Amino acid sequence: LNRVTGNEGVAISQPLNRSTVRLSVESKLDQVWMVRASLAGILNDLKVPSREVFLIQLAVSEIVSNAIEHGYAGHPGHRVDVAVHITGPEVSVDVTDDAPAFPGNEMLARLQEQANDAEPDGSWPIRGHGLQIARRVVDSLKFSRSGGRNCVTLVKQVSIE
Amino acid sequence: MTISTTGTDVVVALIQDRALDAGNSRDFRSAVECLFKPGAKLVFDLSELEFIDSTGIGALVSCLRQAHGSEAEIRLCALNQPVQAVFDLVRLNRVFEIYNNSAEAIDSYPN
Repeated sequence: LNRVTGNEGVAISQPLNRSTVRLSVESKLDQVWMVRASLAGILNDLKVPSREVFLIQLAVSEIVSNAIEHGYAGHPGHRVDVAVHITGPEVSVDVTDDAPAFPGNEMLARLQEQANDAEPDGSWPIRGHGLQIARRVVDSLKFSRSGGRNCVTLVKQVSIE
Repeated sequence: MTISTTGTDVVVALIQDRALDAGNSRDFRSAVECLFKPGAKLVFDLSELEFIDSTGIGALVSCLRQAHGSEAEIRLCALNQPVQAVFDLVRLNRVFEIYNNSAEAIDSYPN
């Protein structure tokens, strides 16, 4: 929260505090729930509305699963790091892995694809929706590569009581 | 993945896990494989499901296609709000027949 009320009821601006928590999971798809549970613990404690908590869980799950399935080709024994930053009403999550660099053009193309919604005949491609779903439910989604690591950063403004 | 089934004419499969995601979708597909008999009338009860991701959605779509291919039918029921939100997001509500509860889903099948 960036405002407090003084004795005279005057709103006083305070610098925003940034809080960060970091966790790591092994590159196994059955570990991703722990990332979701950790996010829920943090965001529920901040009284973020449950729908917003869910959307952040969904986006982060998709990105972590994507790193495991495509970055590490489903191989266990690697690490996916998740850093959650809370700055006032902004939740920012960095998902970092040590997998080979994803071809930037391909990643960009996948993000810029029109979202493939289901058609009434059920012709919904079964795979490849994760990034698009993630992009839809957060305010921004960026890729970067630094120090030999891939990083996806998700940002979403939330309502904090 | 734990699934319990009830019924004979219409088989209701209750998914008892809290999540259907990349971590268990393959198990889910294996667990429901035996239900796709020709002419089967199936209801997937999602009332205990609190989370679904794109892989889970893909698994359900895969079931729908298998049902179409084996002259079986699938209807879904009792979607919790987060699951409904993902269905809305990818407009799967246009693809599946979705009912409020298992009784309504069973009744929706002609006798």
